[in-house]
Amino acid sequence: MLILLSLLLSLTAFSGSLLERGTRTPIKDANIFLLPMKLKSVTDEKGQFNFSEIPTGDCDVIINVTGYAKFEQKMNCDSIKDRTIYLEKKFYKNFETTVKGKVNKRDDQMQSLTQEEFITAPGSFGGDPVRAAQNLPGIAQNGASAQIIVQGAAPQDTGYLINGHRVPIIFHFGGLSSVIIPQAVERVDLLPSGYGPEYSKAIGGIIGLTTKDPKKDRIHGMAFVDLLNTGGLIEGPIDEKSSFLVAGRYSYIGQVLKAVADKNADFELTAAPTYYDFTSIYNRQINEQNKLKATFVASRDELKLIANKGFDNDPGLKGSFYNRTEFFRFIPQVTTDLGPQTKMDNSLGIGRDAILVNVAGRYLEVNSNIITQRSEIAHEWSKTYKTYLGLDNQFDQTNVRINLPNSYNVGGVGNPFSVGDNRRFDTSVTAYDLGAYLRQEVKPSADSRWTYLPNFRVDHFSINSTTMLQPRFQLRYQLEPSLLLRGSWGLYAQPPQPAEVSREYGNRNIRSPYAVHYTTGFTKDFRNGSTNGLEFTNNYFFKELKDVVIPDIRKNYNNNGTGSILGGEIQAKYRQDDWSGQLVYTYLDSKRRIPGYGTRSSEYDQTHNLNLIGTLNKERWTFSGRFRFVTGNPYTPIIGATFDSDNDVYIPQRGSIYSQRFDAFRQFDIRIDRKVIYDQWILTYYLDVQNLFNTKNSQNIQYSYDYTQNKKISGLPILPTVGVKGEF
Amino acid sequence: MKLVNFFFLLVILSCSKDKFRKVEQLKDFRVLAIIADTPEVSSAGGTVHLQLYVSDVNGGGRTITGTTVSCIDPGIGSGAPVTCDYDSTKQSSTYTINTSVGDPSTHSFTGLNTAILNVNVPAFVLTSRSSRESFNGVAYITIFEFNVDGKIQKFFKRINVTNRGTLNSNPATASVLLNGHAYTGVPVQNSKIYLSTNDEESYDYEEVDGSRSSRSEKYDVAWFATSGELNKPKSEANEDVEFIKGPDASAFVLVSVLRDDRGGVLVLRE
Repeated sequence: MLILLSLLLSLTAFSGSLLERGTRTPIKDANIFLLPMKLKSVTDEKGQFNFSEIPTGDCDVIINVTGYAKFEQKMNCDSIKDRTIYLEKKFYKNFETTVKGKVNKRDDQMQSLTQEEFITAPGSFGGDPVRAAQNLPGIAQNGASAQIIVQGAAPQDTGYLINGHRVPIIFHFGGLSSVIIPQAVERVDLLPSGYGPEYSKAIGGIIGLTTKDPKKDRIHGMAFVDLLNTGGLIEGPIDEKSSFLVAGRYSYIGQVLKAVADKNADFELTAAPTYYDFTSIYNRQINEQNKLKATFVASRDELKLIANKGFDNDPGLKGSFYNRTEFFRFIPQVTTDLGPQTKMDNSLGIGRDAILVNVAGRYLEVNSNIITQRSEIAHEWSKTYKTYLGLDNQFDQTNVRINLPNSYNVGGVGNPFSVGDNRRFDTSVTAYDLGAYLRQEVKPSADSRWTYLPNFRVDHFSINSTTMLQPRFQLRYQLEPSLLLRGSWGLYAQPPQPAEVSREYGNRNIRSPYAVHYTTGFTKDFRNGSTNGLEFTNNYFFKELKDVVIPDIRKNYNNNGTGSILGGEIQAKYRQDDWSGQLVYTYLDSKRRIPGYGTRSSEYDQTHNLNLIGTLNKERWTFSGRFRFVTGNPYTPIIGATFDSDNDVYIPQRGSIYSQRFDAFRQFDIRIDRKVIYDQWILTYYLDVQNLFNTKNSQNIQYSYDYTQNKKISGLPILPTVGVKGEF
Repeated sequence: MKLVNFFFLLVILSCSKDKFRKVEQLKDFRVLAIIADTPEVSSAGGTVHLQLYVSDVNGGGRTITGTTVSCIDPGIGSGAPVTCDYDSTKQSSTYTINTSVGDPSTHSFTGLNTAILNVNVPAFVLTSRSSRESFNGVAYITIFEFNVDGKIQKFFKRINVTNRGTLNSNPATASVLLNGHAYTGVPVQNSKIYLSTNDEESYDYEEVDGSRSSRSEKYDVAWFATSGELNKPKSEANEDVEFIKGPDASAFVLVSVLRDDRGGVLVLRE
């Protein structure tokens, strides 16, 4: 008895938690051994373990979990409670706050990048989702422009969405950063040709950002600073049912430009170009059926400068230049489960867009109050028939103040600013776009390899009182589990631009331009369920553009333009353990026909577009690179000029429209990340170099005052950025 | 909508680095202004007299004959090409420039050409035009075309036809001041010169919404010099322009062309 009592008195307890080093993620189902007692405990969901009765004295704690460095430590195990043990992973991803998930692709045409993918994408300038999406097939190289060009369509033919709701811009000034901080984005979607009926008003394609659901396990945070930006994010639970995320970013890229400008007597940057954005997300599980997600996004870009000397070929154009672009959206979304076969989504986008451009006292000011509304009910009638019925509406009230000369620009060559007939007016416009769609997924039988998608959409645009019926058919054939064949045909319409139907600047009789898309292609996954191996996707498309709006000297605009876009895309992704490579190639033949100017290449025609991307992970280092080769953009030569003696300026004479091309675009980008792992947080240093070899890629032409001399202007020079990021 | 991007900044940042000929530099053959004795005429039309203000510093004194053609403005302000080919009522003529006169020692001619072109503005210019066009005016243009040193050079001038009533006239009085005082000869190094005038007229203008507003002429001055540099080739009236003296000042000519933004012109030569 005494022996037993003494044994009991010499027993102790040892408990604690097993967490991942740096991220504090609980490690569950891990075996913890104590030697020499040969005792074992298994961690629970929260990573907690407990040895209730162990002999007092020293013990060896041994933990060996796949993917983690082995933990082996001698310690005194006497009555240790709440001991936290950190296990270091063998490999950490570039950012550990990434959302890991698989995209639920409804549309075969959709190409998506999750946060896990875009945050590590080379050439994405620090993981920007839209920059990363430019690695996808079909996205044109567009220099430092903030506009996205999809499959040879015009920039205004691409729609930008946040959580399904339209926003005016997706990129900040210079096209380096999108309007939401990357860590607040769950995924970026590209919907090029042949997309489903859910979206419209973009005959070229759609780029959409979806914000993430805030984390609920604990408070997480992230902050970074580099040569161009600084920003941060914090997210976590509020209570059992709700969570939040707040993020913001400020760019001081303009301070760099201002430093350059201060040495130039010809102009002064009175306010350096700046941008900033703010994102907040609130999630709440209202009850078993209803879930609320409310997202608020605000963005502002600003530039102001004074040109003391005018432009060479428009010397009268001098003085102050000011541009401000800002918007915000509040997007509440309610998702309702109406049963195992029925789901309903309702959302609003409430916001305001404001644009002010002031050029030497001439100005354009647009202020819009906007409400967008989306509703969809999805019902699975049987194993072979599913429908999605939805509404997609927009209402806006816009105040416009204009004091600008009218302009006429064909072939990218316009008359000097000072030649146009100056028009000044204030106006207020109320407009609405009403859209409804039906998506159907039909299989001949439950085990059929065929899926038919006879989809329909109808849109009414009040801006020109037009109703457009748009049938869209898709076909899917699963030849084998890893091989999907697909095809589509559909009609896509969009309203004309507001200026094109303006009473003062446009033509009230302008019709809505539309396009007919034809696509086919297949996807083959050679990985056989492994993470290593090859994925291959290709896609071929043809688009007929109808009723394209073109400038008209007498009527301002007309619908006599047409066009065609023929192309093919290949994407091959290969992954092998700690390295991966990707080849993305697009062939394009984009043509436009303007009466009087004939059929010629579109200014967005890039015949060959090749991206080679590679990533290597080595312990705490990540090396990535991207090489781009793109056929030079077409441009219109200027073959002479006539002196306008009343305005003291030369009026250029166009040569054959878009008959010449800039030299091919070549750019090599690299990024190196180095991680330092601490128990409760991770520090990352990074070097990102855009255009490593400082290749001079001509992207514009500057002319002398009489157009007899010219020189080509290069795009982005070598742009190195170093930064540091901390996350917990 | 993104109206300002990096291209815009790249163009501006590269402005001072180009090696283009300076717009203010007088060297080869150039027409600096076309002067109409009446820049505006009434809807009844009439005869307008045009003269070219020419510089041909390196021409050595010569006679250049070219063609002229006059017609209703095809819509140049809206982007139409500068041509009269479309107009069956166009009027054609010839015009001769003689740079052998003036500055005989150097033949570095810069001045008003003596030849006058008579342009008969027809009475039907405003026929079938809208109220706004008739009030603000429709241009009747004259295009000059010369072959100079093997290169075709084209210039044009608008004569505004309007039923506004009060017609525009050329600016009448102005003088070039150096550091606030009248001067002759070559301005001294780094001096501030400006064109002094307070001659702007007011006029009525019909806006696109049909309302009429009173506007004041906005004077622009274009500066030209045979040597030296000007820190800006264009200025507003009474706005300082800095002159940086050049090495060759023996036959120095400084020209300022004052425009009233309605076709009125006054040229001063120092």
